[in-house]
Amino acid sequence: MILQQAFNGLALGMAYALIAVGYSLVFGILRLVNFSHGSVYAFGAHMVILFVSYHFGLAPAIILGVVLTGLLGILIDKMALSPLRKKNSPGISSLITTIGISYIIQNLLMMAFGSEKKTFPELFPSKMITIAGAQVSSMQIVMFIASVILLLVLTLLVKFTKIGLAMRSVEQSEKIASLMGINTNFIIAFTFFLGGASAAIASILISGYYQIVYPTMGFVVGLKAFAAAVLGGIGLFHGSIVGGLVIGVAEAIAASLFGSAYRDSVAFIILILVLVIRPAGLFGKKGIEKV
Amino acid sequence: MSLLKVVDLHTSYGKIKALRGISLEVNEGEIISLIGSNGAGKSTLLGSITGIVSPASGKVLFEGKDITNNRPNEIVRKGISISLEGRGILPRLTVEENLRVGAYSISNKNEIKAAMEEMYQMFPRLAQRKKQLAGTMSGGEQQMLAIARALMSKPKLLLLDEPSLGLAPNLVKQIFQMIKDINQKGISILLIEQNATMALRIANRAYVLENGIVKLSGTTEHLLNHSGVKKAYLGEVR
Ligand SMILES: Nc1ncnc2c1ncn2[C@@H]1O[C@H](COP(=O)(O)OP(=O)(O)OP(=O)(O)O)[C@@H](O)[C@H]1O
Ligand SMILES: [Mg+2]
Repeated sequence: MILQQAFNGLALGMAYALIAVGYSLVFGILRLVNFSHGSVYAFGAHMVILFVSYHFGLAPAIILGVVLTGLLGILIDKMALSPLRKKNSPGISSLITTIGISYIIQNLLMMAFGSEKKTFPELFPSKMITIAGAQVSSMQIVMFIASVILLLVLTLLVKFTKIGLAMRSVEQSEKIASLMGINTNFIIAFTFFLGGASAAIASILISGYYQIVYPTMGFVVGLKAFAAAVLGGIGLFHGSIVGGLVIGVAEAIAASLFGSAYRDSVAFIILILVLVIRPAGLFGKKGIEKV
Repeated sequence: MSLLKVVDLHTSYGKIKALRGISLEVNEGEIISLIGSNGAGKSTLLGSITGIVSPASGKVLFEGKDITNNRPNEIVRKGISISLEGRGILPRLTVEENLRVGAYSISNKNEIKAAMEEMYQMFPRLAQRKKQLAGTMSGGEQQMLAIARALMSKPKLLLLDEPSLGLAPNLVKQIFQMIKDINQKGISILLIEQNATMALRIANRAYVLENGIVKLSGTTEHLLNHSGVKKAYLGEVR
């Protein structure tokens, strides 16, 4: 029983981690919690059902959905956040702006798609597999593996590529990065693209699992992923991954013990407990926040 | 030939007028020193040249081309590089990564590798500490890294903002020797220094900044013997 829930939680938790990394990416580079991320997540799945409804075929619809969601990330930055930065507005203005954008995206999705729940296509014919007495669907395994691969790719990109080096430089000092020849606007846009695209992939994986989408679907998931990011230490990749897994597994186990009506509060109970003990998150260190 | 030419530059931070009409010139191959008391506007001048702050009026010309209000990342590509006041290394990158960031504007991998080897030869200390996080290095090591990093972009003009700040006397000497060596390789240098005596000894010409204007300028022999300079800036000479 516990094992069963652990499997469910691991699959979902890995997808949370993928969303959490989006918070961490943007937070790392701008010290901003991007609360529009949940709606960006919802946008991804809706783009896929849109293109599928126009008979693009599932794979092209997925690719288009991911790219467009990445571009939405850039658009959010260019239209709303970058102008605020240029005016040296306080961080709180940007924060409120991302909340506003979140609702704008949600409402646009409602206007375009209606607010009711729609079915999301099955990504592939899923089978149930029995591992050590627990039932696991092949979709869950795919969700887990795809998320792991993507997180790995993102990690390698940030650690070992030239653009990753530029991202880490901008994260430490935008001024110095620009003096070294880095086009910081491009790097910030690229970071938003990565955040949007990874949210879209998570959205497609999770929607492929539940096979349901609706405009406000990103709200709770977005908050949980944010909790995962903070839990691990926001701005840290490995923190997001561990945070996502902890929340995914805890939520699945709690749902089976107390009933699924209580699953959503578990993430936040854990978050509050961790923050009381370790204010900077599991892996966060104090004092390295800003140079 | 004039490499850098600054013409009647005015720069403000809100109501504070930090530069009030600065004109100066760096010719190819020269070392130019810029001295002046705290708050005179020296760093602001370098900021205005590198595109970090935008001047209210006036011009910055590099190799005859107007680069006023270009973005910092474009200015590096044109051949101006800076080692910042307080070093400005990226603390959570390793020494090697800092050097790589310095070479960001160069796309040829072999060229980057060669430049890196050259820096490790010039600064053996850095070679031993390639994998160390820059923020954990000593002040002197960080200063060397800042200079090495600035050289990685193969600049024609190197701007140095107080490279000897907070260093022990023997290290200061070493840094000044390096500045000479760098200049020998054909890189022109605009040097800001609090240590006016050494700054004047190393340079071809110098400018004295006061309250955002050029108070005095000329050859270093001239300034070293100038009574006003002696009194205000060379007081420490024994
Ligand atoms: N970011 C800023 N915002 C507001 N005022 C500034 C800023 N930077 C510098 N100033 C002001 O501009 C003036 C010139 O400062 P600047 O840093 O250029 O002086 P400096 O000659 O480099 O001094 P120091 O020798 O102490 O480094 C000072 O009055 C300073 O307070
Ligand atoms: Mg200064």
